[in-house]
Amino acid sequence: MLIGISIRGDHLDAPVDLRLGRAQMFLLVDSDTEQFKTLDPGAGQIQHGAGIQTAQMLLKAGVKAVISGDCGPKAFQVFQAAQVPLYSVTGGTAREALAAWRRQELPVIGQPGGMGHA
Amino acid sequence: MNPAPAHQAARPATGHPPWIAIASGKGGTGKTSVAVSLALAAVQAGKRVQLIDADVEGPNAHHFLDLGASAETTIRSMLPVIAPETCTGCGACVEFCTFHALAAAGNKVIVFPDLCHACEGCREVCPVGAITDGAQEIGVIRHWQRGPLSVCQGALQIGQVLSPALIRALHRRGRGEAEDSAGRPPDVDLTIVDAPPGTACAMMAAIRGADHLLLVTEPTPFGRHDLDLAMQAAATLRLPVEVIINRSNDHDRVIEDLCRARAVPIVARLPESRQVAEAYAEGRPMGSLGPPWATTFTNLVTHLEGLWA
Ligand code: SF4
Ligand code: SF4
Repeated sequence: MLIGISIRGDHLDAPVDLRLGRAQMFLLVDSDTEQFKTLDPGAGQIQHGAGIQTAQMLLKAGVKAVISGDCGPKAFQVFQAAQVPLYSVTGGTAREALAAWRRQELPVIGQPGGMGHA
Repeated sequence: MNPAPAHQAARPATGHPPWIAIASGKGGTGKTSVAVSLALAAVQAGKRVQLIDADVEGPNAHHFLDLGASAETTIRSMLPVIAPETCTGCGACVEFCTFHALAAAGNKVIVFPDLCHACEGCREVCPVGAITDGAQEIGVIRHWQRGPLSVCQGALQIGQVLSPALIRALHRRGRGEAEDSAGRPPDVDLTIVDAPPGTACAMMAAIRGADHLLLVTEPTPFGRHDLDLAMQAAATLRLPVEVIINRSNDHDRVIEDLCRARAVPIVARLPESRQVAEAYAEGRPMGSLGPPWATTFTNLVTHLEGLWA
C-alpha cells in the first residue's frame, strides 16, 4: 500500500516535515517493498488552499495513508472525505516514521491542528 | 424610470439617469463625506438622488444622515451543492475553480464555502448537471427613503469574502434590475455610488458600469501614489475620471502634476480645516459647513449637470 510522507529532503533518511500544507516534498513509499518516489507539491506559492491542493495531489497519486506532523482543517476534510487516514509524528526520519507506523505506534490525527496551515 | 423629455436631455448616452461613482485609492480621504455632501447638494438643486453606499465591509454614509428606520433585505449568493448520486467524479469543476473552493477526494467533490467566490462557473462546466445552487447568505441590503433622497447600503456578513457579489446585488437594485425581494429603487435623476477604498476587486465592482468617476485624494505623496493606482484601475474600465482634492493646501502641486500628466481634470478643492474634522466627529458631512464647502458642492452639481446637458 502506498503511503505519503511529508519530508524535508528526498530519501528515507531525511527528516519528516511536520507541516503537511507547507511541505516542499513528499515521499511516496510502497509499504510492501519500501520502494519510494518523490512528489513535489509545487504549491509553495499558493496563499490559500495550498493544503487542499497538496491533499488532492496525494490522493491522485494513490496514497492510502499519510504521515505528517499536523494538518490544516481544509486538507483534513479532503482526506476525511476520501477516507484516507492521517498519522502523526513529532519528529525523526521517514524511515523511523515508517517503522513506527508498522508497529502501529503512530496516533491517527482525529482532528485538524494548526488552523493557519490549511 | 421617468420618461419626461426634460430629464432625457440630461441623461448619458446609455439612457439611464447619470450614475456617478466616488472612489479613492485608500481609506481616510474623506470620500464618504464628499459623497454624502454631493448627494445633499443635488437634492438642494431639486434632484431626486439615490446614494448607494457600496463600502460593504464598513458602510458608514448613513452616519452622516438622519435617516430613521431602514428596510432590510437578505442577499444570498451561489454556493455549489453537489449531488453525489449524479456526480461522476470527472473533476472538471475542481479544475475550473481558480479559487480552490472545490477539492477532489477520491470520487467525491467537496466544497469549501469560505473560499467560494460565487462565480457559478463550476455549475456551468459540470457535464452531468450534478451541481445546484445552495445559496449562501452573504449580507444585507438596507434602504431608506427620505423625501427625494434614497439611501441604500450593503453590509457584508462578518467572515464573508463576497464583497463583489454583494456590490453587484446593490447595483442591480439601484438599476431597477433586481428580480428578487431586494426591492425596486425609486425613480431618480442621479445615482451616486460611494465605492470601497483601495483598488481591489470590491472597488472595481463598485465603479464598474458608472458613467463617471470622481476620485477623492489628498495632496501628499501617499495620496498621489494611491490616486495613480486608482486612475490605472479606472483606465482598465475606460471610465471618464475627474479628481477632487480634499484637505487642499499649498502642497496641491503633487496632485496637479500627476493630473496634468494623465490629462485628468481637477474639479474641486476642499480646503484643509479643523472645522471639517469637528463636523466629521459629530457625524456631519463637510457640505453642511457653509462656504467654501457648501458652494464647492453646489458648483460640482452644476458641473456634473453640464456633462450630460
Ligand atoms: S461558484 Fe465559482 S468559486 Fe464557487 S466553487 Fe464554483 S467555480 Fe469555485
Ligand atoms: S464536474 Fe460535475 S460530475 Fe464532474 S466532478 Fe464536478 S460535480 Fe462531479
